[in-house]
Amino acid sequence: MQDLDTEREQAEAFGRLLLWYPKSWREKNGEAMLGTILEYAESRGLKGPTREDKLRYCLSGMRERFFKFEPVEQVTRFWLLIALLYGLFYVFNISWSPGTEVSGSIGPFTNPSVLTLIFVALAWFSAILKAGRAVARLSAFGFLTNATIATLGTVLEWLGPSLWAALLFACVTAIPWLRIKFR
Amino acid sequence: MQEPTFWILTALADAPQHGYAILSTVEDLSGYQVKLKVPTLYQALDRLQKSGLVEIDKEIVVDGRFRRYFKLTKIGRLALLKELETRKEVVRRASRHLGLAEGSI
Repeated sequence: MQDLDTEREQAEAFGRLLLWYPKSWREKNGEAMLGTILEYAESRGLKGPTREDKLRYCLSGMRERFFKFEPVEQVTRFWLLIALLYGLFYVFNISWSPGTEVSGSIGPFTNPSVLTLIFVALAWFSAILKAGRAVARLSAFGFLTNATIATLGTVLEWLGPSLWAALLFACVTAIPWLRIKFR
Repeated sequence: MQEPTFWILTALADAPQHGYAILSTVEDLSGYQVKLKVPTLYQALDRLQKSGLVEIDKEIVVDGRFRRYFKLTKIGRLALLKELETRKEVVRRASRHLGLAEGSI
C-alpha cells in the first residue's frame, strides 16, 4: 500500500509538470505524455521531477501557451494592421495632449486608450514572428482593455474616448482574436 | 529537416512505437548522440501529426499507464526517403571534396 501511495504521489508530482501546458494541449497529449514521463523516470530511477525537469517543462509549457509558432493568416494580419493604424491615429492625434490634467488622463494622454495600443502593437510584432497564440491572447487583452475603457469612460465621464470610438477600436482589436480562436 | 524530426521518423520507419520506445530507439540508432527529452518529443510529434508525416496507430493501457503508439504515414516515409537522399548527397559531396573514393566510407 505504501508503495502504491508512493507511486501515486510520484505520478501526481510528474503530472503537475503538465500544468504549465494549455488545457487544450493537456486534453490532447497529457495522458500519453504522462505515461512516457513515468516510463522515462522509472528507467532512470527517478522518484520525482528534478529541478532541471521543472524548468524544462515550465519553459516548454510557456512556449506552447504563448510562443508557439503558428502562421497568422493574411486576413488576420490585415485586421491587425487596421487596429494598429486606428490606434496610432487615435492615441497620437486625438488623445495626445501633454500638460492636460483631466479625469481619466494617463501621462500625456487624455484617456488610457494607449494601453490598448500597446497590446495591439505587441500583437502586430507577434504576427510578424508567426506566434499565432500570442496574437490571439494580446488581441483579446486589447479588446477587454478597450471595452473596459469604453465603459469607465462613459460612466465616469472621461474626456474621451467616446463610446463609439472606443467600441470601434475594441471591435477591430477583437477580430484577430476571434479569427484565430474560431478558425 | 531538423535533427529530432529525422530521428523520430527513422525510429518509426519499421514499426509503430509509443513515446518512451521512440526515445530509446532514437538514442540507440543515433549511437547516443541524440537524446530527446519528453517535451521535445511530444512537441515534435504534435507538429509531425499536423503536417501529416505521423499518425496515431493505437492507444493502450499497460500496467496502469497510458501508451499512445505512433506510426509513419506514406507521406512521412517519402519525406524520410527524400531526407536520406539529401544526406547521402551531402556525404558524396564531402567525400569528393576530401578526395575519398566513392563508397569508401
